[in-house]
Amino acid sequence: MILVTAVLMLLTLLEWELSAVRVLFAVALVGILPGYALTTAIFVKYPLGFAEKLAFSCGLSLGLAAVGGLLLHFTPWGLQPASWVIYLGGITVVANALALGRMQQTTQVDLSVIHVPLRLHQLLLMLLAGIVIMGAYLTARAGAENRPAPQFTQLWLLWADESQSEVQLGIQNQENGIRQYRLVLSTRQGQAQEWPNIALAPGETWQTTFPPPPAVGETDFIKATLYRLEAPQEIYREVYLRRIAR
Amino acid sequence: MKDILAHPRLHWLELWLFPPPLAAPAHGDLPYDESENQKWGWAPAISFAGAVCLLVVAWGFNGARRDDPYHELIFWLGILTFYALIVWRLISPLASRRERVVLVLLAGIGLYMVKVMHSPLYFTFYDELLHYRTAANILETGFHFREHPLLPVSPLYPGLENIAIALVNLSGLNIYYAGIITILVARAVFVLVLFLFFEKTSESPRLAGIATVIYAANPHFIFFDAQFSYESLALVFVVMVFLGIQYRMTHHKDKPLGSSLLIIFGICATLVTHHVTSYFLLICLTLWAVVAYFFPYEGQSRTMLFGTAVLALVAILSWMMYVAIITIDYLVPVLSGAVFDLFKVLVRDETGRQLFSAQGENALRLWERVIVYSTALSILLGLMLGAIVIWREYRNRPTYLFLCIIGLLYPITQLLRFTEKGPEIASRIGPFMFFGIAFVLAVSVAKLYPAAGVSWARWRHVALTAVIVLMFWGNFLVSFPRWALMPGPYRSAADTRSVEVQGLAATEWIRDYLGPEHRLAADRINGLLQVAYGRQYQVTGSWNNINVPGVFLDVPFTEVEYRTLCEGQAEYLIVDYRFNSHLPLLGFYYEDAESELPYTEPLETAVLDKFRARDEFSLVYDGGDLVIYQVDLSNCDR
Repeated sequence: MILVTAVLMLLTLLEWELSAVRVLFAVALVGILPGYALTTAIFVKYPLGFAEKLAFSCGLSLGLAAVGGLLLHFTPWGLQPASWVIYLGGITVVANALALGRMQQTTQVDLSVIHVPLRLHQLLLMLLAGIVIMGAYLTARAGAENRPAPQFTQLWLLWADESQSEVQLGIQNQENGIRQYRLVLSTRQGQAQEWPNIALAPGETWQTTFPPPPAVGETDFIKATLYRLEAPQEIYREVYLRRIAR
Repeated sequence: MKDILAHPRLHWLELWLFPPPLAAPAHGDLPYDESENQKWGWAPAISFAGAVCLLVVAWGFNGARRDDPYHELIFWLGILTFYALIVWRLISPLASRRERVVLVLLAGIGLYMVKVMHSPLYFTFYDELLHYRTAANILETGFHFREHPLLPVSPLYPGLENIAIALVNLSGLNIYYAGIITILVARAVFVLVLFLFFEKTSESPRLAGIATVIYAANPHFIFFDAQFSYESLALVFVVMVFLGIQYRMTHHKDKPLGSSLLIIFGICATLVTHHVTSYFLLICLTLWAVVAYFFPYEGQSRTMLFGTAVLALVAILSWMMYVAIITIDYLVPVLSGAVFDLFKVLVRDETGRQLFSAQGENALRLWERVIVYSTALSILLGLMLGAIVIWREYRNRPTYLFLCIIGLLYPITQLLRFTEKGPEIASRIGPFMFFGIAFVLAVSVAKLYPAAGVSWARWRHVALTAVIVLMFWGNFLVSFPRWALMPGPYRSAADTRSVEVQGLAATEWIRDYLGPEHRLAADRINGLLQVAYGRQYQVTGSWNNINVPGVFLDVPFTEVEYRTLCEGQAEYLIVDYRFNSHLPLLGFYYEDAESELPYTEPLETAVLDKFRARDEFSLVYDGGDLVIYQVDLSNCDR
């Protein structure tokens, strides 16, 4: 147990890439191991059943993490991966050592392996149940991802910096197909610039930065109007920007 | 009392009221046999059937997302069959202990999956999004107690976020998945610990299984206490304390180290996780100690319970006074308002609120109302029967009496539903009261169906299963507004139904292009999304004491509204044009009580368009339904 924890601590500190194994190890270190070690240490003179062991191991682990976050807050390092590994791993190792020590002092230690008389068909049914539950989750997830959603395009116009010397203009296509747009920039004095054909794939962004037209003073504004080429007369999106006194 | 009943003519009443309590509990369990109790029995088959039911629920949800006909039927078929299968087997006197443990775990995790499948991509429930922000703050800085714009008490109770952050830090998962795993583990531990507590109390795995599954019928079990929210976790620690006490009083009297540490640890974890749950724990411990004082059980230490209550009092008060003093300001107005309202209703100074008065999409249909009323009636009858049984047969056991008192308080607390400010409190205390209700109802069930061989055994089994499933159904119907029970097309001001891609895209845009920590004014949902996922600061009437709804709803826009924006230092405004075609399902778009009369029509476009004509605003973002204005605050000093 101590060895397993030490390996887990090391692997977690190395910050290996996200993977299912890393997630499992993290769940074990946060949700099971410290509590299991502590349960073994404090209930060493009173043998517990499997349900009790499981409940106390996970429950104490959750409690240790809930309270431990506060303890870490008062350290100079705060809540960081390394501090969590040291805290949770440290508790696991110390509690395990304590359990070993207490086990040697008592004659009542229950080291029997949990007997799980599961027949083959029962095992298969349990496995199938797990697979179907995962399938249910994935079904719901697919349904949520593909649910009917509005198609929309985002248009924005911003001062690119505090000094308002540059303007940032952008479009993002959030529709489900390639879209072609015409973008017109204007001021009170009339059209200042035009982009006649901007084609964007779904999720694609177009943006540009440029100095504001010279006529844009304190009371004027810059306006960007977006048209779809399939409906060239119809204003699709419109934004405008005024100077802000600083 | 006994002197009066000693009168010869009242002797029968004395015999009825004060029969000798049972020496050992009798709840219809099979004679204990180690090998029998290790059997898996029907648990694998029911697990598989339950999993198929969850798949049906997923189909129902997908149908709801597409607004298909019959989606509701499919959903109810799945979830009710799932629950009924488990209840059916747990009621049976023939199931082994191992089977019961597996079935309560299945009930807890399966019903949690319903919530996960409701929002399988990101958090959509209001409270979850609030806690998301707390977690994001900790993740960003590595430290606690950073200001929260919408729920200032949340950073002061960071137990839940600590676990999620540990998982994020160690696994590389995002906060959503870490939150889902945290609550999944918490839920599994919760049902297991609750089962063990009921089992140690009643010495009956059968009663424990029935009580645990009845607890799962409480209105908040499926959604509210499955959220990524502090109460979901704190309840686990409360039951751990209860279990520790039960161990300490009965099984571990000679070797109390383990159970004592469990109690101390549970109290500490509760007080750093959730304010209301820690106060409930304190009330319970005090009540339990008082009951044990007046009804002592042979060999059980009374001082231990008082000692635990004092320990909890000191710890909880210290936390409140030295860390979370603002909790008083947060909770007292709500509680005092509800109590004051109740007083006014009781002295007939005010007419009570009419139940089921909601209109439109909020209104329950007739058959739903019948189920809800039947549920209330079943609970009341079950409580009466269970209380009588406990008094006559188990009044020498303080834990039985303690749970019975908690259960019997429930009908009284529900009087708050007849007040204006009380319904939310009446609803929120349900999960706490159900510790008692579930136990007392389980005692009733065990009394009505005491063993496999009794007359009409099969009918008793069917009828009791049906009644418990009915309670589950009725409580689930009132757990949330009916439009929130399933996912579905967009609705305005409807919390979980309002969280969708356009709002999320605007949130992402602000975070990416403007950066975090901007002050903005918005409606309830877009503001919440900006606070949670965009890490912005939403100015609100509740916390900034300014009239935000007036800014959006008053026409024309005048100097008054501009001054309001100046007071709130709101740099940006978000306007949602869907408000001109949808009524607010919660009754308001921006903040509670923004309109004197209920809305009968959506907002006029002119109301939403009014900022366009003003020089104080630049329209910096146009996403179709959602637009964002930048506010020129440079004239605030004029």
